[in-house]
Formats: sequence, C-alpha cells, structure tokens
Amino acid sequence: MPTQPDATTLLSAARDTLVEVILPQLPAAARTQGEHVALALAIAIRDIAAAANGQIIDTGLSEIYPQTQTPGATTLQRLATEIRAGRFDDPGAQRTALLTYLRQATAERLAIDNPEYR
Amino acid sequence: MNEAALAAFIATESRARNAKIGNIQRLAGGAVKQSWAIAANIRGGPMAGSHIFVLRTPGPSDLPATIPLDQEFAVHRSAWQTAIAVPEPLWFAPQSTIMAKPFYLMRHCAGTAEPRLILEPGATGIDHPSLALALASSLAKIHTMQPPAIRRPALSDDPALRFIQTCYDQLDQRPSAHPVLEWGLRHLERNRPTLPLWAFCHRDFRTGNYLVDEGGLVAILDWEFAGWSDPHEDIGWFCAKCWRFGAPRRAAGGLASRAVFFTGYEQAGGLPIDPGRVEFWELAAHIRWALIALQQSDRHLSGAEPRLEFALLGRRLAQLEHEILAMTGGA
Repeated sequence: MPTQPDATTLLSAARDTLVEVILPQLPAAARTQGEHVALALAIAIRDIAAAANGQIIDTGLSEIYPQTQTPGATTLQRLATEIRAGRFDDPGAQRTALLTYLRQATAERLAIDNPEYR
Repeated sequence: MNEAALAAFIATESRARNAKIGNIQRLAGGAVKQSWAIAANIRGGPMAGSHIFVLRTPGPSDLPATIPLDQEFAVHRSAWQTAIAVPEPLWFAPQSTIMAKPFYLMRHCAGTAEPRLILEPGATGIDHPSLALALASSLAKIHTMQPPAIRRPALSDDPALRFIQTCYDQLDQRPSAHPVLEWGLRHLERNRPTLPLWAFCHRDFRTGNYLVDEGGLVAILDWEFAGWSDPHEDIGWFCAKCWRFGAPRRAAGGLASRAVFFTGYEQAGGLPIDPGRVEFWELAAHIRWALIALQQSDRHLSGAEPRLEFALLGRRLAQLEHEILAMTGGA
C-alpha cells in the first residue's frame, strides 16, 4: 500500500466529492460551471494516467518517416506541410500509413479527452 | 459600466423625460460577446413604461472571424427589417463614457437557447419537426438579406476557396502542426464545388443560437460571424454532427432529418439544395469549429480571458478530428 495518496488519487477523490456531494447542491446558475470543473478533473486524471502508462502520442510517425530517429514536433510540421502539398493524395502505402497514424493519434487523444464519444 | 450615463443614453434614444435602470444581470452563454439583462423604467415619450433590455458588448478578448459590433448591429437591424425572428434591435453606442467598449441594446425575449433542454423529447413541449421547419424558413429569409453594412464579394470570388485559404492562414499562425485539420482541408481542396454560389449567411446558425418557448421559435441570436458565403455553409453548419448535442441521428440540428429541413428550406423560397455542397460544408464546419475551439483555448492560455470553459474547448479537438477522419474515409 502506498504511504501517501498520489496526484491521481487526490484528483479522483476531489472529483467524486464534487459530483456526489457538491454538484447536487449547487444552484442552477452555477451548475454548468460545476460540471465543467468535474469534466476538467476527469480529463486531468486520464491525462496523468496515460503519461504514467507510457502512452506516447505520435508513435506511428516512424512508419511514415522510417529514417527519422525520434519523430517530434519538427516531423509533425513536415507531415502537415506534405499533406497540404498533396504527397498523400493518391491511394497507396504512404496514404495508408498516414491514415493509420492519424486514426491512432486521434484515438489516443480521444481516449483521454472524451472516452465515451462515438 | 456607468449606470447613470447608460440611463441617460436610454432616455435620449427613447425620447423620454428620463429613465431609470436596475437589476443588471449577466446572461449565460455568449462565448465571444457578453450580454447583460437590464430592467429599465422609461418616463415619458413613445416608449414610456417598464422594459427589459439586453445590452450586448465585446468581452475582454475576441475571435478573429467576428465582425465589429457596429456591423453586427447593422446586420441585426437588417434581419429585423426583413421580418426574421430576432430580438428587436434598438440603439448602438460607440466606445464612450458609458462603457469602455461599444455596445448595443435590444429588447429582451423570453425563452431558452439551452440545446439539451430544447432537444430532450418532451422537455419543453416543442414539436421538433415544426421547429426545424420554422428554422428552415428563417434561414431561407436570411439568405435573401442584403445588408448595406457588409460588402458583397465579387462574383468571381469563390467562398469555398476563401474558406480553405482562411483556414490555412490560421493554421500557419499556430505554434504547432495539426495534421488531421490539414488532411481535412486537403480533402476540401480536392472536392470543392466547381461553381461559386453567394448569399448572405448567418455563419453561426445552429442549435444553441436560437431561442424557443412552448410556442416554438422565438428569435435567432448571435450575428457576430455573419457575412457573405455559399448558403450551403449555413446548412452544413446547422447539420454538422458537432451541433446535434446528443441527438446524432437527427441530422438537422438534432431536431429532424436532413430531408425535413431541406424540404422546408426550399419550400420557403430557399435556393435548391445541393447535397454534395452540404457534405462539403459539413466537413468544413468541423474544421472551422476545431479552429475556433483552438482560438477559444488560446484566450485562456494567453491570459487574455482565463475561463475554464475556454480551456476545455481546447480538449474538444480530438472528437472534431475523429469526425473529420470519419468524413474523409480515414476512420
């Protein structure tokens, strides 16, 4: 058992208290803001958990740019420029790799920001 | 806000002996502009009596695509003169001793604009298909407007190309790349309508931006993005999945099917709807909303207007990008 609560434990406890105790008592005028606070806490909790689990967004970039050792912001910028220039317009392996990457990166962020979204 | 000066302004504009104001309350909503309800008691003149007015004024920060408030007032007045359901616009005031920013006043309308309340079956007694038809009819009227305050583009100009270029310009100003938005824009570039169409458009015509009561449509609000575009931009924006608020199967604003809305629009005198163009502008809607969400998030991150609501919009991006991929064969 851990000796003290970590950030996720504290945030989760805070969110539970907000949702179960405070939100039902809030006046209607403040309810939306209370819901926003609960949503922000939920995203922050998932964000911390994803980082702790070693989930790294943009892993699929190396499929598109195999020569690049550590794809980062510069690679992402290059990708954006090349999409605009039409490099991925035609069907083929490059386009498939691009769509696989875009799908994967979006799904990873969606799992944190809004996991129930369909 | 200098309340005494505002009361004097109301008295002058309404040709009254004097006016008193009170019970000033910030209204909910309005992510760009602020709205305040003001109770006014006017003595003498043609408007003598008790009124509730709404004062509309820019917030501490703004979005790049909004029109100046004097133009918004002129457009709002033009809509009123075209017999479109809007709150009656009253008087515009530039920056002065009354307020540090320009403002205008309109009559207050009762009703709700809360999407989930409007869309929940049975919550308000509103008949959703009838409301969709009323909105379709209003949109057909909006597309006939020719407000002198907003210059009509040259016929050779192309709203689709202009939209795409504006988005590219906005992306180029951002600190990081957004490949999904680039992908969506590239798809638009390769699938854009061949012939330009122009009409005056609301450009934020969606559930959440109109007021309803038990009787149906009360007023169309929030004219700050209005301008000339392809009329299908308004239809695509209204039908985009991101504006259906938990009712994704009812494509027209969460209220009705596209077919009901399209038929209502055409029967009310709107231009014949081209479903291919609507598809183009629905994808455009998701890209535009994604860029607006990023800009709203910037207002929080830059400290210009710190609000949790704006910060959260920055985390809306993933679901919009999910839709963009779904609409372009990427999901």
